[in-house]
Amino acid sequence: MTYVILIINELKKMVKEIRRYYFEFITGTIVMFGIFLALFFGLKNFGGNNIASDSLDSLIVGYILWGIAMTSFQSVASMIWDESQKGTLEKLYLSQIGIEKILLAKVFANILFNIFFNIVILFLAMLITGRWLNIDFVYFIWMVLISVISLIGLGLAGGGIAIIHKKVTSLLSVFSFGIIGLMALQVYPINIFSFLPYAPGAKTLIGVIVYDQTYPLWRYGFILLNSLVYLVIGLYVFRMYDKKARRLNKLGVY
Amino acid sequence: MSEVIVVENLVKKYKDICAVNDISFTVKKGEILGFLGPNGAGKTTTIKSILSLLEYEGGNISVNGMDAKKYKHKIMSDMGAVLEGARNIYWHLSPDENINYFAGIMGLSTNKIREEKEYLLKRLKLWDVKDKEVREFSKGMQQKTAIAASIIHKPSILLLDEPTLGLDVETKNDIREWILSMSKEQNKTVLITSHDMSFMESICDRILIIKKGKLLSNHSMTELKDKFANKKYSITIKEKFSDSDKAGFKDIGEHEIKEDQDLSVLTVSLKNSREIYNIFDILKLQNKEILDINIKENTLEDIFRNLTTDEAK
Repeated sequence: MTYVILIINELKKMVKEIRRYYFEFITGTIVMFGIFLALFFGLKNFGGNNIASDSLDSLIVGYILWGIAMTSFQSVASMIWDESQKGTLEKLYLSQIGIEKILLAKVFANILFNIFFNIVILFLAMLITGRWLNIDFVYFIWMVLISVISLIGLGLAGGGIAIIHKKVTSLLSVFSFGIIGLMALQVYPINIFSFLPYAPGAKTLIGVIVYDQTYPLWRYGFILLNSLVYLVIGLYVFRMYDKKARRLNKLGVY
Repeated sequence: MSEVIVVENLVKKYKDICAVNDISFTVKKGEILGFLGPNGAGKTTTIKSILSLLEYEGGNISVNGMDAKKYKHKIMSDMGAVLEGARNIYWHLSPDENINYFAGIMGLSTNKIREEKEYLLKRLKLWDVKDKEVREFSKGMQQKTAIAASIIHKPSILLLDEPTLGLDVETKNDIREWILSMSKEQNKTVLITSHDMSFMESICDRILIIKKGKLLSNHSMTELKDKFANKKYSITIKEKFSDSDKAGFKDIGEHEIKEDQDLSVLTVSLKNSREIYNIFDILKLQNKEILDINIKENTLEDIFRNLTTDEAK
């Protein structure tokens, strides 16, 4: 119940922020969609008739998955950094619920919003490109949620580092664009790249949505395990830096 | 009164600097405890240690009988804090939205806090501006919003770090009245730091004076005034004192004579007011004409200055 209150609380705050700063939200949306259109029509014109329809579908799905992944990772790390910069991070510590649960609920709310936002973008993309994908949205949402858990872990680690070192935008940018690389890796059959975060989930999602593949259950177990390992690592790193921040009085000092 | 906060031998170091050096004190239920000290004395460090926002190297802290380290989350359900320097609230949200948000952070839904929110917004004179963005507010109104957001979960212990810093007189009065009502009417415990001596003197039951991490004094306001009850008498005389006149005051204790044209002002600090008769006797013998007598009681500021200066010596 506590998580529900926390998530609703965060969603309400986000909606209020969007209503108040609608210009920023609209321009952000236009930029994101503009990049997608440039990629899509660029690839189509460059490749001409030789471009396979699967490649265009991969581009649509891949772009949406990248959007969700990047905003999920950044929402965690940037949120912690932002709260620290604003001076409100210490206030979040002053709750009997505990900072980790609060951050996770905030992140989950952010991700829910991002998924919804990206599904709207996906529909717009399909409408403009005329390429309609057959997507099972229940499967899509669950798979995305399971896959991005690994990035939440990395985001927590990044946020922990940000509390101590403050300016970490370069590090966050590298991670954000590194996600494109993760999505491009060949992770099946299982090899060393399969153990990287997000990669197994993204590859599976593209396989199901674009290529109508079906996969054995163990693969989903592997994706969940991969995500949980990174979440545990992220929580451990966050706790380490949180302890250090409380030792050095860095929580409220920017 | 039972003790709700117990701090025992607290030590907090930053590398080689000892910010808090082995201090111990308790705060009783319903008490308003003031924490005084110059900048860097260790006041904020102590408050943050109680709130578990800092890890300390030595000592123990307990809140409501629970170890503050072990039960750092549990104890927060009964504590509210406004921290110094921190924004404490979101500037792009209104007081109403900030209160709702921080109630949510405490696990409370909007429906559960409706009455308390209305009471606080009205009590802190924010009701008419409850839907305006906080960033448009004066510092005083922002501080009052921060206070309301910090106590929406009805804690019985309030920790206020410099709540009056940079505020105008009217807002200070609002906050003073509110703190007093919290303590006297609702029996809430308040631990407060401030540089504003007259503010502290007007609300605190007990005062801790701290300097360079060491506790110099821990007395109730009455004890402090008794202990440092010296009254300062300034007697203006209609002529200058000769050297032999001045020699006559050698036995009256610490005193000061200031001379200006044809006037002299003899200032003497006396613990027992009856001692003034000895000085009158001397002046009578010297046949001096008294033009004016001014009596000043020691304020908290005088006591604070004396204590922190003595320590420096």
